[in-house]
Amino acid sequence: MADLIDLGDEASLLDAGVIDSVGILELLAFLEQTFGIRISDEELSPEHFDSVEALVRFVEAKR
Amino acid sequence: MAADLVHQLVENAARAHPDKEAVVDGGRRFRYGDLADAVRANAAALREHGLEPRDRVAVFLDRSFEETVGLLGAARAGGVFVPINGLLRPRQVLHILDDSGARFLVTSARRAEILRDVLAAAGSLERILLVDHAPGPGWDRRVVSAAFRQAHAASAPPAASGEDLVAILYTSGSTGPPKGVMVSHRSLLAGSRIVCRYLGITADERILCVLPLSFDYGLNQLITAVEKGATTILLSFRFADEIVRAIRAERVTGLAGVPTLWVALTERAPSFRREKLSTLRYLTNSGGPVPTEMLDRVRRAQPHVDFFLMYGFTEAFRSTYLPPAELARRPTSIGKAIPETEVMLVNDQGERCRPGEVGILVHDGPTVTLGYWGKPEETAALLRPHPFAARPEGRPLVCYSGDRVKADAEGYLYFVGRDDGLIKSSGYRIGPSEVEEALMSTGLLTQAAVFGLPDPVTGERICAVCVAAGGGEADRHEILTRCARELPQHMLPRDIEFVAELPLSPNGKVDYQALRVARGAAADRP
Repeated sequence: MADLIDLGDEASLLDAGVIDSVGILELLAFLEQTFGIRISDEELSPEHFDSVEALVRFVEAKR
Repeated sequence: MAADLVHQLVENAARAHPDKEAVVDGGRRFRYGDLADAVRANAAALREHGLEPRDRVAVFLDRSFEETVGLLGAARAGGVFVPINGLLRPRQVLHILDDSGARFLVTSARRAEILRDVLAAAGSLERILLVDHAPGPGWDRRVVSAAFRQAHAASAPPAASGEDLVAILYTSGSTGPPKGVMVSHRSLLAGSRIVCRYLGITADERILCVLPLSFDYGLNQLITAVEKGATTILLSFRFADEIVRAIRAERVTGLAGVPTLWVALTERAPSFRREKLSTLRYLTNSGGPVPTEMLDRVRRAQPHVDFFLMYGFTEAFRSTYLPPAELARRPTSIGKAIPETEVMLVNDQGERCRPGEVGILVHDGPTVTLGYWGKPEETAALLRPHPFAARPEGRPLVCYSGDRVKADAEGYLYFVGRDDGLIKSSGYRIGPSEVEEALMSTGLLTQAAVFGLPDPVTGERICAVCVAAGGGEADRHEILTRCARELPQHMLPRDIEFVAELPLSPNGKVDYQALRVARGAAADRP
Protein backbone atom coordinates (compact mmCIF):
# COMPACT_ATOMS: atom_id res chain seq x y z
CA MET A 1 0.00 0.00 0.00
CA ALA A 2 2.96 2.33 0.45
CA ASP A 3 4.21 4.42 -2.40
CA LEU A 4 6.67 2.12 -4.15
CA ILE A 5 9.12 4.89 -4.89
CA ASP A 6 9.59 5.76 -1.25
CA LEU A 7 10.66 2.27 -0.19
CA GLY A 8 14.27 1.92 0.88
CA ASP A 9 16.35 -1.24 0.49
CA GLU A 10 15.72 -2.24 4.08
CA ALA A 11 11.94 -1.64 4.07
CA SER A 12 9.70 -4.67 4.63
CA LEU A 13 8.22 -5.58 1.28
CA LEU A 14 5.78 -7.95 2.95
CA ASP A 15 4.44 -5.48 5.51
CA ALA A 16 4.23 -2.72 2.89
CA GLY A 17 2.05 -4.99 0.78
CA VAL A 18 4.45 -4.69 -2.15
CA ILE A 19 4.69 -8.46 -2.45
CA ASP A 20 1.63 -10.68 -2.24
CA SER A 21 1.40 -14.46 -2.51
CA VAL A 22 1.64 -14.47 -6.30
CA GLY A 23 4.50 -12.00 -6.07
CA ILE A 24 6.39 -14.47 -3.87
CA LEU A 25 5.93 -17.23 -6.47
CA GLU A 26 7.15 -14.94 -9.22
CA LEU A 27 10.06 -13.69 -7.15
CA LEU A 28 11.24 -17.24 -6.36
CA ALA A 29 11.08 -18.23 -10.04
CA PHE A 30 12.89 -15.03 -11.05
CA LEU A 31 15.73 -15.57 -8.55
CA GLU A 32 16.19 -19.21 -9.57
CA GLN A 33 16.31 -18.39 -13.27
CA THR A 34 18.34 -15.20 -13.09
CA PHE A 35 21.00 -16.36 -10.64
CA GLY A 36 20.98 -20.07 -11.44
CA ILE A 37 20.23 -21.01 -7.83
CA ARG A 38 17.81 -23.54 -6.41
CA ILE A 39 15.85 -22.36 -3.38
CA SER A 40 15.23 -25.27 -1.04
CA ASP A 41 12.16 -25.93 1.06
CA GLU A 42 13.94 -24.92 4.25
CA GLU A 43 14.80 -21.53 2.82
CA LEU A 44 11.19 -20.58 2.10
CA SER A 45 10.85 -18.19 5.01
CA PRO A 46 10.04 -14.50 5.23
CA GLU A 47 13.44 -13.53 6.67
CA HIS A 48 15.12 -14.09 3.28
CA PHE A 49 12.57 -12.25 1.19
CA ASP A 50 11.36 -9.38 3.31
CA SER A 51 13.52 -6.56 1.96
CA VAL A 52 15.76 -5.82 -0.98
CA GLU A 53 18.72 -5.95 1.41
CA ALA A 54 17.72 -9.39 2.73
CA LEU A 55 17.25 -10.66 -0.82
CA VAL A 56 20.71 -9.52 -1.86
CA ARG A 57 22.27 -11.17 1.21
CA PHE A 58 20.39 -14.38 0.55
CA VAL A 59 21.31 -14.63 -3.14
CA GLU A 60 24.97 -13.71 -2.53
CA ALA A 61 25.25 -16.44 0.10
CA LYS A 62 23.77 -19.00 -2.30
CA ARG A 63 26.08 -18.29 -5.24
CA MET B 1 -36.77 -20.69 10.35
CA ALA B 2 -36.16 -20.58 6.61
CA ALA B 3 -34.29 -17.43 5.69
CA ASP B 4 -35.37 -15.03 2.94
CA LEU B 5 -32.69 -12.49 3.77
CA VAL B 6 -28.95 -12.87 4.17
CA HIS B 7 -28.73 -11.40 7.68
CA GLN B 8 -31.40 -13.83 8.88
CA LEU B 9 -28.78 -16.55 8.43
CA VAL B 10 -26.73 -14.85 11.15
CA GLU B 11 -29.71 -14.63 13.52
CA ASN B 12 -30.64 -18.27 12.84
CA ALA B 13 -27.11 -19.49 13.56
CA ALA B 14 -26.83 -17.35 16.70
CA ARG B 15 -30.14 -18.70 17.98
CA ALA B 16 -29.28 -22.35 17.22
CA HIS B 17 -25.74 -22.32 18.62
CA PRO B 18 -24.67 -18.99 20.14
CA ASP B 19 -21.44 -20.40 21.57
CA LYS B 20 -20.19 -22.08 18.42
CA GLU B 21 -17.14 -20.57 16.73
CA ALA B 22 -18.26 -18.45 13.78
CA VAL B 23 -15.16 -16.58 12.62
CA VAL B 24 -11.46 -17.08 13.38
CA ASP B 25 -9.31 -14.09 12.45
CA GLY B 26 -5.68 -14.68 13.46
CA GLY B 27 -5.64 -14.95 17.24
CA ARG B 28 -9.17 -13.62 17.59
CA ARG B 29 -12.12 -15.98 17.86
CA PHE B 30 -15.75 -14.94 17.56
CA ARG B 31 -18.77 -17.07 18.42
CA TYR B 32 -22.06 -16.83 16.54
CA GLY B 33 -23.43 -14.82 19.47
CA ASP B 34 -20.55 -12.35 19.06
CA LEU B 35 -21.06 -12.17 15.31
CA ALA B 36 -24.79 -11.47 15.67
CA ASP B 37 -24.11 -8.77 18.31
CA ALA B 38 -21.53 -7.05 16.12
CA VAL B 39 -23.77 -7.22 13.04
CA ARG B 40 -26.66 -5.69 15.02
CA ALA B 41 -24.40 -2.94 16.40
CA ASN B 42 -23.03 -2.15 12.95
CA ALA B 43 -26.52 -2.07 11.43
CA ALA B 44 -27.73 0.21 14.24
CA ALA B 45 -24.75 2.54 13.73
CA LEU B 46 -25.49 2.77 10.00
CA ARG B 47 -29.15 3.54 10.67
CA GLU B 48 -28.24 6.17 13.26
CA HIS B 49 -26.07 7.83 10.65
CA GLY B 50 -29.02 8.04 8.31
CA LEU B 51 -28.89 4.90 6.16
CA GLU B 52 -32.03 4.48 4.06
CA PRO B 53 -33.05 1.23 2.33
CA ARG B 54 -30.99 0.58 -0.84
CA ASP B 55 -28.20 2.94 0.21
CA ARG B 56 -24.84 1.55 -0.86
CA VAL B 57 -22.28 0.76 1.85
CA ALA B 58 -18.76 0.25 0.51
CA VAL B 59 -16.47 -1.91 2.67
CA PHE B 60 -12.73 -1.49 2.13
CA LEU B 61 -10.79 -3.57 4.66
CA ASP B 62 -8.31 -6.41 5.04
CA ARG B 63 -9.79 -9.88 5.18
CA SER B 64 -11.03 -9.69 8.78
CA PHE B 65 -13.89 -10.10 11.23
CA GLU B 66 -14.62 -6.39 10.77
CA GLU B 67 -14.97 -6.84 7.00
CA THR B 68 -17.40 -9.71 7.56
CA VAL B 69 -19.43 -7.63 10.02
CA GLY B 70 -19.34 -4.61 7.69
CA LEU B 71 -20.96 -6.61 4.89
CA LEU B 72 -23.56 -8.42 6.99
CA GLY B 73 -24.33 -5.29 9.03
CA ALA B 74 -25.06 -3.29 5.88
CA ALA B 75 -27.46 -6.03 4.78
CA ARG B 76 -29.24 -6.02 8.13
CA ALA B 77 -29.60 -2.24 8.06
CA GLY B 78 -31.46 -2.57 4.74
CA GLY B 79 -28.50 -1.31 2.73
CA VAL B 80 -26.55 -2.75 -0.17
CA PHE B 81 -22.99 -3.85 0.57
CA VAL B 82 -20.20 -3.18 -1.91
CA PRO B 83 -17.08 -5.15 -0.94
CA ILE B 84 -13.91 -3.59 -2.36
CA ASN B 85 -10.83 -5.77 -2.75
CA GLY B 86 -8.30 -4.52 -0.20
CA LEU B 87 -5.54 -4.63 -2.83
CA LEU B 88 -7.08 -1.98 -5.07
CA ARG B 89 -5.31 1.35 -5.54
CA PRO B 90 -6.98 4.64 -4.54
CA ARG B 91 -8.26 5.65 -7.97
CA GLN B 92 -9.79 2.20 -8.49
CA VAL B 93 -11.55 2.55 -5.12
CA LEU B 94 -12.82 5.98 -6.17
CA HIS B 95 -14.32 4.49 -9.34
CA ILE B 96 -16.31 1.99 -7.27
CA LEU B 97 -17.42 4.63 -4.74
CA ASP B 98 -18.55 6.96 -7.53
CA ASP B 99 -20.09 4.33 -9.80
CA SER B 100 -22.07 2.73 -6.98
CA GLY B 101 -22.99 6.12 -5.51
CA ALA B 102 -21.94 4.84 -2.08
CA ARG B 103 -23.23 7.00 0.79
CA PHE B 104 -21.23 5.05 3.39
CA LEU B 105 -17.72 3.66 3.52
CA VAL B 106 -16.60 1.22 6.21
CA THR B 107 -12.81 1.19 6.45
CA SER B 108 -9.84 1.48 8.82
CA ALA B 109 -7.86 4.54 9.89
CA ARG B 110 -4.82 3.41 7.89
CA ARG B 111 -6.85 2.85 4.74
CA ALA B 112 -8.74 6.14 5.14
CA GLU B 113 -5.35 7.86 5.31
CA ILE B 114 -4.20 6.17 2.08
CA LEU B 115 -7.49 7.19 0.45
CA ARG B 116 -7.37 10.76 1.78
CA ASP B 117 -7.11 12.47 -1.62
CA VAL B 118 -9.70 10.38 -3.41
CA LEU B 119 -12.16 10.53 -0.51
CA ALA B 120 -12.23 14.30 -0.88
CA ALA B 121 -13.38 13.72 -4.48
CA ALA B 122 -16.00 11.05 -3.67
CA GLY B 123 -19.10 13.23 -3.93
CA SER B 124 -21.75 10.70 -2.93
CA LEU B 125 -20.00 9.72 0.29
CA GLU B 126 -21.62 11.11 3.45
CA ARG B 127 -20.14 9.00 6.23
CA ILE B 128 -16.84 7.18 6.61
CA LEU B 129 -17.04 4.62 9.42
CA LEU B 130 -13.72 3.60 10.97
CA VAL B 131 -13.67 0.14 12.49
CA ASP B 132 -10.52 0.62 14.56
CA HIS B 133 -10.29 4.21 15.61
CA ALA B 134 -12.17 7.11 17.07
CA PRO B 135 -11.69 10.00 14.67
CA GLY B 136 -9.38 12.71 15.95
CA PRO B 137 -8.99 16.38 15.08
CA GLY B 138 -8.01 17.10 11.50
CA TRP B 139 -10.00 14.21 10.06
CA ASP B 140 -12.47 14.68 7.27
CA ARG B 141 -15.68 15.79 9.05
CA ARG B 142 -17.55 12.85 7.52
CA VAL B 143 -15.45 10.38 9.53
CA VAL B 144 -17.16 8.62 12.45
CA SER B 145 -16.56 5.47 14.47
CA ALA B 146 -18.16 2.24 13.24
CA ALA B 147 -18.74 1.30 16.89
CA PHE B 148 -19.02 -2.45 16.35
CA ARG B 149 -18.79 -3.14 20.04
CA GLN B 150 -20.84 -0.31 21.43
CA ALA B 151 -24.18 -1.25 22.86
CA HIS B 152 -26.88 0.02 20.56
CA ALA B 153 -30.57 -0.32 21.08
CA ALA B 154 -31.18 -3.52 19.13
CA SER B 155 -33.66 -2.27 16.61
CA ALA B 156 -35.51 -4.66 14.35
CA PRO B 157 -34.23 -4.67 10.77
CA PRO B 158 -36.45 -2.79 8.28
CA ALA B 159 -38.91 -4.75 6.19
CA ALA B 160 -37.23 -6.25 3.13
CA SER B 161 -37.99 -8.81 0.48
CA GLY B 162 -35.82 -11.56 -0.98
CA GLU B 163 -36.02 -9.82 -4.34
CA ASP B 164 -34.30 -6.73 -2.94
CA LEU B 165 -30.78 -5.85 -3.95
CA VAL B 166 -28.30 -6.69 -1.18
CA ALA B 167 -24.86 -6.53 -2.80
CA ILE B 168 -22.99 -5.07 -5.75
CA LEU B 169 -19.87 -6.99 -6.74
CA TYR B 170 -17.47 -5.11 -9.00
CA THR B 171 -15.85 -7.15 -11.74
CA SER B 172 -13.86 -6.40 -14.86
CA GLY B 173 -15.12 -6.85 -18.39
CA SER B 174 -13.27 -6.81 -21.68
CA THR B 175 -13.85 -3.08 -22.14
CA GLY B 176 -14.25 -0.09 -19.87
CA PRO B 177 -13.81 0.18 -16.12
CA PRO B 178 -15.16 -2.52 -13.75
CA LYS B 179 -18.95 -2.89 -13.65
CA GLY B 180 -21.15 -3.60 -10.64
CA VAL B 181 -22.95 -6.95 -10.69
CA MET B 182 -26.21 -6.65 -8.74
CA VAL B 183 -27.03 -9.48 -6.33
CA SER B 184 -30.37 -9.97 -4.58
CA HIS B 185 -30.90 -11.66 -1.21
CA ARG B 186 -32.67 -14.43 -3.09
CA SER B 187 -29.77 -15.17 -5.45
CA LEU B 188 -27.12 -14.93 -2.71
CA LEU B 189 -29.09 -17.43 -0.62
CA ALA B 190 -29.68 -19.67 -3.65
CA GLY B 191 -25.93 -19.71 -4.34
CA SER B 192 -25.28 -20.72 -0.75
CA ARG B 193 -27.99 -23.40 -0.67
CA ILE B 194 -26.82 -24.91 -3.98
CA VAL B 195 -23.12 -24.99 -3.05
CA CYS B 196 -23.90 -26.43 0.40
CA ARG B 197 -25.77 -29.21 -1.34
CA TYR B 198 -23.14 -30.35 -3.82
CA LEU B 199 -20.18 -29.86 -1.48
CA GLY B 200 -22.11 -31.57 1.32
CA ILE B 201 -21.35 -28.76 3.78
CA THR B 202 -22.44 -29.35 7.39
CA ALA B 203 -22.25 -27.51 10.71
CA ASP B 204 -18.99 -29.39 11.45
CA GLU B 205 -17.16 -27.72 8.60
CA ARG B 206 -14.16 -25.48 9.29
CA ILE B 207 -13.71 -23.51 6.10
CA LEU B 208 -10.47 -21.72 5.28
CA CYS B 209 -11.10 -18.49 3.42
CA VAL B 210 -8.07 -17.06 1.59
CA LEU B 211 -10.02 -15.42 -1.25
CA PRO B 212 -11.29 -11.83 -1.26
CA LEU B 213 -14.92 -11.38 -0.18
CA SER B 214 -15.25 -8.97 -3.12
CA PHE B 215 -15.06 -12.08 -5.30
CA ASP B 216 -18.35 -14.03 -5.55
CA TYR B 217 -16.50 -17.29 -4.92
CA GLY B 218 -14.97 -15.95 -1.68
CA LEU B 219 -18.23 -14.38 -0.53
CA ASN B 220 -20.02 -17.66 -1.20
CA GLN B 221 -17.66 -19.50 1.18
CA LEU B 222 -18.61 -17.12 3.99
CA ILE B 223 -22.36 -17.31 3.34
CA THR B 224 -22.36 -21.13 3.13
CA ALA B 225 -20.55 -21.30 6.48
CA VAL B 226 -23.05 -18.96 8.15
CA GLU B 227 -26.00 -20.83 6.60
CA LYS B 228 -24.81 -24.10 8.15
CA GLY B 229 -23.47 -22.61 11.39
CA ALA B 230 -19.99 -23.75 10.38
CA THR B 231 -16.71 -21.95 11.15
CA THR B 232 -14.91 -19.57 8.79
CA ILE B 233 -11.17 -19.17 9.21
CA LEU B 234 -9.96 -15.96 7.56
CA LEU B 235 -6.36 -15.95 6.37
CA SER B 236 -4.14 -13.56 4.45
CA PHE B 237 -0.98 -15.40 3.41
CA ARG B 238 2.20 -14.72 1.47
CA PHE B 239 4.00 -18.05 1.80
CA ALA B 240 2.01 -21.13 0.88
CA ASP B 241 3.22 -22.96 3.98
CA GLU B 242 1.12 -20.52 6.02
CA ILE B 243 -1.93 -22.20 4.50
CA VAL B 244 -0.72 -25.65 5.49
CA ARG B 245 -0.02 -24.45 9.03
CA ALA B 246 -3.51 -22.93 9.23
CA ILE B 247 -5.11 -26.15 7.98
CA ARG B 248 -3.28 -28.08 10.69
CA ALA B 249 -3.74 -25.62 13.56
CA GLU B 250 -7.40 -24.90 12.84
CA ARG B 251 -8.37 -28.44 11.77
CA VAL B 252 -9.64 -27.09 8.45
CA THR B 253 -12.03 -29.30 6.49
CA GLY B 254 -12.51 -27.28 3.29
CA LEU B 255 -10.60 -24.77 1.19
CA ALA B 256 -11.51 -22.88 -1.98
CA GLY B 257 -8.70 -21.82 -4.28
CA VAL B 258 -7.79 -20.52 -7.71
CA PRO B 259 -5.25 -22.18 -10.04
CA THR B 260 -2.31 -20.15 -8.74
CA LEU B 261 -2.95 -21.45 -5.22
CA TRP B 262 -2.36 -25.05 -6.33
CA VAL B 263 0.96 -24.00 -7.90
CA ALA B 264 1.94 -22.40 -4.59
CA LEU B 265 0.90 -25.43 -2.52
CA THR B 266 2.48 -28.10 -4.70
CA GLU B 267 5.70 -26.27 -5.59
CA ARG B 268 6.43 -23.92 -2.72
CA ALA B 269 4.84 -25.47 0.37
CA PRO B 270 7.09 -28.30 1.54
CA SER B 271 4.76 -29.57 4.24
CA PHE B 272 1.82 -29.91 1.80
CA ARG B 273 3.72 -32.71 0.05
CA ARG B 274 5.08 -34.33 3.19
CA GLU B 275 2.20 -34.40 5.63
CA LYS B 276 -1.23 -35.88 5.42
CA LEU B 277 -3.71 -33.15 6.30
CA SER B 278 -6.15 -35.53 7.90
CA THR B 279 -8.93 -33.06 8.75
CA LEU B 280 -9.13 -31.79 5.16
CA ARG B 281 -12.21 -33.17 3.37
CA TYR B 282 -12.51 -31.12 0.18
CA LEU B 283 -10.77 -28.59 -2.05
CA THR B 284 -12.51 -26.55 -4.72
CA ASN B 285 -11.08 -24.74 -7.73
CA SER B 286 -12.58 -21.90 -9.70
CA GLY B 287 -11.27 -18.85 -11.56
CA GLY B 288 -9.56 -20.76 -14.36
CA PRO B 289 -8.57 -24.26 -15.46
CA VAL B 290 -6.11 -26.38 -13.47
CA PRO B 291 -3.50 -28.15 -15.61
CA THR B 292 -3.96 -31.93 -15.29
CA GLU B 293 -0.41 -32.40 -14.09
CA MET B 294 -1.02 -29.93 -11.27
CA LEU B 295 -4.22 -31.71 -10.33
CA ASP B 296 -2.30 -35.00 -10.13
CA ARG B 297 0.27 -33.44 -7.83
CA VAL B 298 -2.42 -32.12 -5.46
CA ARG B 299 -4.12 -35.51 -5.41
CA ARG B 300 -0.87 -37.42 -4.87
CA ALA B 301 -0.01 -35.14 -1.94
CA GLN B 302 -3.44 -35.47 -0.29
CA PRO B 303 -5.15 -38.53 -1.82
CA HIS B 304 -7.97 -38.65 0.76
CA VAL B 305 -9.28 -35.20 -0.26
CA ASP B 306 -12.16 -34.65 -2.70
CA PHE B 307 -11.24 -32.13 -5.37
CA PHE B 308 -14.13 -30.23 -6.98
CA LEU B 309 -13.47 -28.45 -10.27
CA MET B 310 -15.95 -25.60 -10.52
CA TYR B 311 -16.76 -22.91 -13.01
CA GLY B 312 -18.63 -19.71 -12.46
CA PHE B 313 -18.78 -16.08 -13.47
CA THR B 314 -19.83 -13.25 -11.21
CA GLU B 315 -22.95 -12.51 -13.28
CA ALA B 316 -24.35 -15.99 -12.56
CA PHE B 317 -22.43 -16.61 -9.30
CA ARG B 318 -21.65 -20.36 -9.57
CA SER B 319 -22.49 -22.22 -12.77
CA THR B 320 -21.05 -25.75 -13.12
CA TYR B 321 -19.03 -28.29 -11.14
CA LEU B 322 -17.45 -31.68 -11.72
CA PRO B 323 -18.23 -34.34 -9.10
CA PRO B 324 -14.90 -35.67 -7.69
CA ALA B 325 -15.82 -39.22 -8.80
CA GLU B 326 -15.54 -38.04 -12.41
CA LEU B 327 -12.18 -36.33 -11.97
CA ALA B 328 -9.94 -39.25 -12.96
CA ARG B 329 -11.91 -39.84 -16.16
CA ARG B 330 -12.24 -36.20 -17.32
CA PRO B 331 -9.74 -34.01 -15.47
CA THR B 332 -10.10 -31.08 -17.88
CA SER B 333 -13.90 -30.84 -17.63
CA ILE B 334 -15.77 -28.12 -15.74
CA GLY B 335 -18.56 -30.67 -15.21
CA LYS B 336 -22.26 -30.03 -15.52
CA ALA B 337 -24.77 -27.48 -14.28
CA ILE B 338 -25.04 -26.89 -10.53
CA PRO B 339 -28.34 -27.96 -8.89
CA GLU B 340 -31.54 -26.00 -9.72
CA THR B 341 -29.85 -24.72 -12.90
CA GLU B 342 -29.84 -25.32 -16.64
CA VAL B 343 -26.68 -24.62 -18.61
CA MET B 344 -26.86 -24.60 -22.42
CA LEU B 345 -24.39 -24.00 -25.20
CA VAL B 346 -25.58 -21.77 -28.03
CA ASN B 347 -23.77 -21.51 -31.38
CA ASP B 348 -23.42 -18.47 -33.66
CA GLN B 349 -26.68 -19.38 -35.42
CA GLY B 350 -28.52 -19.29 -32.11
CA GLU B 351 -28.99 -23.07 -32.09
CA ARG B 352 -28.19 -25.57 -29.38
CA CYS B 353 -24.65 -26.94 -29.92
CA ARG B 354 -24.10 -30.56 -30.89
CA PRO B 355 -21.53 -32.55 -28.85
CA GLY B 356 -18.05 -31.25 -29.64
CA GLU B 357 -19.33 -28.00 -31.13
CA VAL B 358 -18.12 -24.81 -29.42
CA GLY B 359 -20.72 -22.28 -28.31
CA ILE B 360 -21.41 -19.58 -25.75
CA LEU B 361 -22.37 -20.87 -22.30
CA VAL B 362 -25.82 -19.64 -21.29
CA HIS B 363 -26.98 -20.01 -17.68
CA ASP B 364 -30.58 -20.21 -16.45
CA GLY B 365 -31.20 -20.52 -12.73
CA PRO B 366 -31.82 -18.79 -9.40
CA THR B 367 -28.29 -17.39 -9.04
CA VAL B 368 -28.46 -15.11 -12.11
CA THR B 369 -27.71 -11.42 -11.39
CA LEU B 370 -30.29 -8.64 -11.52
CA GLY B 371 -27.98 -6.94 -14.03
CA TYR B 372 -25.17 -4.38 -14.06
CA TRP B 373 -25.66 -1.42 -11.74
CA GLY B 374 -26.57 1.67 -13.75
CA LYS B 375 -25.82 -0.01 -17.11
CA PRO B 376 -29.08 -0.88 -18.89
CA GLU B 377 -27.45 -1.47 -22.31
CA GLU B 378 -24.80 -3.85 -20.99
CA THR B 379 -27.49 -5.56 -18.91
CA ALA B 380 -29.65 -6.07 -22.01
CA ALA B 381 -26.71 -7.79 -23.74
CA LEU B 382 -26.06 -9.99 -20.70
CA LEU B 383 -29.60 -10.96 -19.69
CA ARG B 384 -31.82 -12.18 -22.53
CA PRO B 385 -34.90 -14.32 -23.06
CA HIS B 386 -34.38 -18.08 -22.88
CA PRO B 387 -33.10 -19.09 -26.34
CA PHE B 388 -35.19 -22.26 -26.61
CA ALA B 389 -38.13 -22.01 -24.19
CA ALA B 390 -41.07 -19.63 -24.55
CA ARG B 391 -41.77 -17.91 -21.24
CA PRO B 392 -44.55 -15.50 -20.31
CA GLU B 393 -43.18 -12.00 -20.98
CA GLY B 394 -39.76 -13.56 -21.39
CA ARG B 395 -39.11 -13.83 -17.63
CA PRO B 396 -37.00 -14.95 -15.91
CA LEU B 397 -34.12 -13.95 -18.16
CA VAL B 398 -31.06 -16.12 -18.75
CA CYS B 399 -27.43 -15.04 -18.53
CA TYR B 400 -24.98 -15.05 -21.48
CA SER B 401 -21.48 -15.71 -20.14
CA GLY B 402 -19.30 -14.73 -23.10
CA ASP B 403 -17.28 -17.89 -22.40
CA ARG B 404 -16.86 -20.39 -25.24
CA VAL B 405 -17.47 -23.92 -24.07
CA LYS B 406 -18.03 -27.35 -25.65
CA ALA B 407 -19.66 -30.56 -24.39
CA ASP B 408 -18.74 -34.22 -24.82
CA ALA B 409 -21.22 -36.94 -25.80
CA GLU B 410 -22.25 -37.40 -22.14
CA GLY B 411 -22.89 -33.70 -21.64
CA TYR B 412 -19.77 -32.87 -19.63
CA LEU B 413 -18.56 -29.36 -20.38
CA TYR B 414 -15.10 -28.07 -21.34
CA PHE B 415 -13.97 -24.45 -21.20
CA VAL B 416 -12.44 -23.35 -24.54
CA GLY B 417 -11.84 -19.59 -24.35
CA ARG B 418 -13.42 -16.22 -24.87
CA ASP B 419 -14.32 -14.11 -27.89
CA ASP B 420 -13.18 -10.90 -26.24
CA GLY B 421 -9.90 -9.89 -24.67
CA LEU B 422 -10.81 -10.45 -21.01
CA ILE B 423 -7.76 -11.84 -19.17
CA LYS B 424 -7.99 -14.39 -16.36
CA SER B 425 -4.83 -14.21 -14.28
CA SER B 426 -4.25 -15.52 -10.74
CA GLY B 427 -8.01 -16.15 -10.56
CA TYR B 428 -8.82 -12.49 -11.28
CA ARG B 429 -10.78 -11.13 -14.22
CA ILE B 430 -8.58 -8.40 -15.65
CA GLY B 431 -9.90 -5.90 -18.18
CA PRO B 432 -7.21 -5.14 -20.77
CA SER B 433 -8.57 -1.61 -21.23
CA GLU B 434 -8.00 -0.81 -17.56
CA VAL B 435 -4.34 -1.85 -17.86
CA GLU B 436 -3.99 0.03 -21.16
CA GLU B 437 -5.39 3.16 -19.55
CA ALA B 438 -2.84 2.96 -16.73
CA LEU B 439 -0.04 2.46 -19.29
CA MET B 440 -1.21 5.48 -21.28
CA SER B 441 -1.47 7.60 -18.13
CA THR B 442 2.32 7.32 -17.73
CA GLY B 443 2.65 9.82 -20.60
CA LEU B 444 5.53 7.76 -21.99
CA LEU B 445 3.54 5.93 -24.68
CA THR B 446 1.43 6.81 -27.69
CA GLN B 447 -0.27 3.40 -27.93
CA ALA B 448 -0.61 0.30 -25.77
CA ALA B 449 -2.27 -3.06 -26.41
CA VAL B 450 -2.72 -5.48 -23.50
CA PHE B 451 -3.58 -9.16 -23.79
CA GLY B 452 -3.03 -12.47 -22.01
CA LEU B 453 -0.65 -15.28 -22.93
CA PRO B 454 -0.64 -18.75 -21.33
CA ASP B 455 1.43 -18.90 -18.14
CA PRO B 456 2.21 -21.87 -15.89
CA VAL B 457 1.89 -19.92 -12.62
CA THR B 458 -0.89 -17.39 -13.15
CA GLY B 459 -2.90 -19.08 -15.92
CA GLU B 460 -2.51 -16.06 -18.15
CA ARG B 461 0.38 -13.62 -18.13
CA ILE B 462 -0.43 -9.96 -18.78
CA CYS B 463 1.53 -8.71 -21.81
CA ALA B 464 1.73 -5.18 -23.16
CA VAL B 465 2.88 -4.25 -26.65
CA CYS B 466 3.48 -0.51 -26.79
CA VAL B 467 4.53 2.31 -29.06
CA ALA B 468 6.86 4.65 -27.16
CA ALA B 469 6.41 8.40 -27.42
CA GLY B 470 9.28 9.58 -29.61
CA GLY B 471 9.79 6.07 -31.04
CA GLY B 472 12.22 3.36 -29.97
CA GLU B 473 11.88 2.17 -26.39
CA ALA B 474 10.67 3.87 -23.24
CA ASP B 475 11.99 3.15 -19.73
CA ARG B 476 10.24 -0.05 -18.60
CA HIS B 477 11.10 0.53 -14.94
CA GLU B 478 9.60 4.02 -15.06
CA ILE B 479 6.47 2.70 -16.78
CA LEU B 480 5.97 0.01 -14.14
CA THR B 481 6.65 2.42 -11.28
CA ARG B 482 4.01 4.82 -12.56
CA CYS B 483 1.52 2.03 -13.34
CA ALA B 484 1.93 0.66 -9.81
CA ARG B 485 0.29 3.83 -8.47
CA GLU B 486 -2.81 3.01 -10.49
CA LEU B 487 -2.94 -0.79 -10.38
CA PRO B 488 -2.33 -3.53 -7.81
CA GLN B 489 0.40 -6.06 -8.42
CA HIS B 490 -1.83 -8.69 -10.02
CA MET B 491 -2.83 -6.23 -12.78
CA LEU B 492 0.65 -5.03 -13.74
CA PRO B 493 1.97 -6.21 -17.13
CA ARG B 494 4.72 -8.84 -16.80
CA ASP B 495 6.10 -8.28 -20.33
CA ILE B 496 6.44 -4.87 -21.93
CA GLU B 497 7.48 -4.90 -25.56
CA PHE B 498 8.01 -1.94 -27.90
CA VAL B 499 7.08 -1.85 -31.57
CA ALA B 500 7.08 0.89 -34.21
CA GLU B 501 3.36 0.40 -34.82
CA LEU B 502 0.57 -1.93 -33.71
CA PRO B 503 -0.91 -4.32 -36.29
CA LEU B 504 -4.40 -3.36 -37.46
CA SER B 505 -7.25 -5.58 -38.57
CA PRO B 506 -9.10 -4.81 -41.85
CA ASN B 507 -11.61 -2.63 -39.98
CA GLY B 508 -8.81 -0.43 -38.65
CA LYS B 509 -8.82 -1.65 -35.03
CA VAL B 510 -5.82 -3.04 -33.17
CA ASP B 511 -5.49 -6.71 -34.16
CA TYR B 512 -5.13 -8.38 -30.76
CA GLN B 513 -5.43 -11.83 -32.25
CA ALA B 514 -2.37 -11.19 -34.46
CA LEU B 515 -0.44 -9.86 -31.46
CA ARG B 516 -1.23 -12.95 -29.42
CA VAL B 517 -0.55 -15.49 -32.15
CA ALA B 518 2.76 -13.83 -33.05
CA ARG B 519 3.79 -14.36 -29.43
CA GLY B 520 3.03 -18.03 -29.26
CA ALA B 521 -0.64 -18.19 -28.29
CA ALA B 522 -2.62 -20.93 -29.99
CA ALA B 523 -4.49 -19.59 -33.00
CA ASP B 524 -8.13 -19.14 -32.09
CA ARG B 525 -10.94 -19.45 -34.50
CA PRO B 526 -10.85 -16.75 -37.22
